[in-house]
Amino acid sequence: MSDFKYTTGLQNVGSYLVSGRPYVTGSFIESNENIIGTGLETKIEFPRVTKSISLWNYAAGGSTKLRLTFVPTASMTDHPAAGNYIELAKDETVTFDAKCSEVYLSAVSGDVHWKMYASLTEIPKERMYALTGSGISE
Amino acid sequence: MSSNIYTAGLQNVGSYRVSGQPFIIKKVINVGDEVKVEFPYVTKNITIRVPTPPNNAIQTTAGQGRFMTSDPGPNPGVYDLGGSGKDFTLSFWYKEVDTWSNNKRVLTLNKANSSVANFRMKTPSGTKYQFDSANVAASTTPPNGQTEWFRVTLTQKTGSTFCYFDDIVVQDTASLHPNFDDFQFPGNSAPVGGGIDELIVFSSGMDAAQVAELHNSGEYFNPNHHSLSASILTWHTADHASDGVDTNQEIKDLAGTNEPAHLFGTGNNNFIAGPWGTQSTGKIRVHTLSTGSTSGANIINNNHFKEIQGYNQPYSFPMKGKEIYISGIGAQVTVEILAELTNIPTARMYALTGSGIDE
Repeated sequence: MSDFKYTTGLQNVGSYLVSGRPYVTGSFIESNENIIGTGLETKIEFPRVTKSISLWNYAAGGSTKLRLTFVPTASMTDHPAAGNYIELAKDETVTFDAKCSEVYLSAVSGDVHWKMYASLTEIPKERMYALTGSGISE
Repeated sequence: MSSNIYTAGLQNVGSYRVSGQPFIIKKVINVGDEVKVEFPYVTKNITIRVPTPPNNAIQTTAGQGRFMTSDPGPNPGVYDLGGSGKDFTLSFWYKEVDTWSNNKRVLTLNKANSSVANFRMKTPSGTKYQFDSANVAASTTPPNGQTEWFRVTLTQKTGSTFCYFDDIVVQDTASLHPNFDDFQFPGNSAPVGGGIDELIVFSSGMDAAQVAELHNSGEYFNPNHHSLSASILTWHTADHASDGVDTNQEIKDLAGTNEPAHLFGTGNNNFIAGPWGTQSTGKIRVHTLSTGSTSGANIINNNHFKEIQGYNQPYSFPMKGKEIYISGIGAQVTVEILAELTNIPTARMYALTGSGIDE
């Protein structure tokens, strides 16, 4: 008799089809917890592999820009010229289905307030491979 | 016993149902150019967006606000431009904030901290604008209105110095410009404040076509993709702190060696919204095969493309593919490509052609 145990995994379709476990960080109430100072970078680590991510820049300043990358900007080849980032102006949001275990947020111009919602799989984050290469870091 | 190994593939449903590996890249596309974006794996979804451009501008004032390379800059300053064999182009966005009045100086170009050329929106007689040290009034009136941003370009080329408002030559001095080493907004003498953005200096003169290329029909322009980008000396923009921003009363130079421009060290430095609220001229066309391919003419003739225009108006293409093509129309456009990738190797993807592609 096989002792194979069918579990969640990166290539397991069911892991992504079931509704995700919610992950919310930030608050709609103004607080210092979700401010990134100009020129600084914040790492967001998820407890499990994501199935989708939504990010919102709700900074007060009209000229603020919030940047999202999947690796630290310092580790990227030719950043920012290579363009491996999403940049949100004030009140802009982005949602996309992507698997990852961490993202990096940085404030490009002005202090930004941000809010993130992630839909998580039950896949342990340790099973996620390191994102790198074309479209990520180069 | 079967030796079949079940792997990711084009017809494998699961390959598309698991969340994708992210892929993000930003491209700057000039008018008439076509850019190919290649993905490392077959896509499941592609989203294209024109991001909101950096739109923070400096506001100088007559009293305290300044924007200059000359204070507390080195002496001599950062440039050696103007005069025989030293063609140049100095270009910026400008907006009247403090009311223009006769003889007030928007900008001075300095040599060893002394003014050698002034830029006024109204001459001492108050009828026209003027620039340079000579009292040569222009034959046309300047743009008016405190809500109107316009592009100002000063360029020395082929023994003459030209001033452009937007794409129109409003003055031709028929003489070389005095040599200068710094810029200063506004002048020390008879100053008037205003809005300034995207100040860029080239060590080459420009003809009308090159000026129009720089002005980009009034839409945001990345000068690193200008045909004379090799001669960019400095590029000061009031955005992008982490790339080189407006901290500590200093605007970082984004071109080559940093030659920061200084704001008034202890003064009241302000910022206002810049020139770009909407995108009305530039746009992109997204297609799945190159217009230069064998049947590529059909892509345009038969509308096998999707046009996207407007800041932050993403459009998604749920599709499998290993590459897409994006063409620039009307004006240079910066575009963001966000893709969700399968783990299917691109070698397994067939070439897209036929109906809906290039027929």
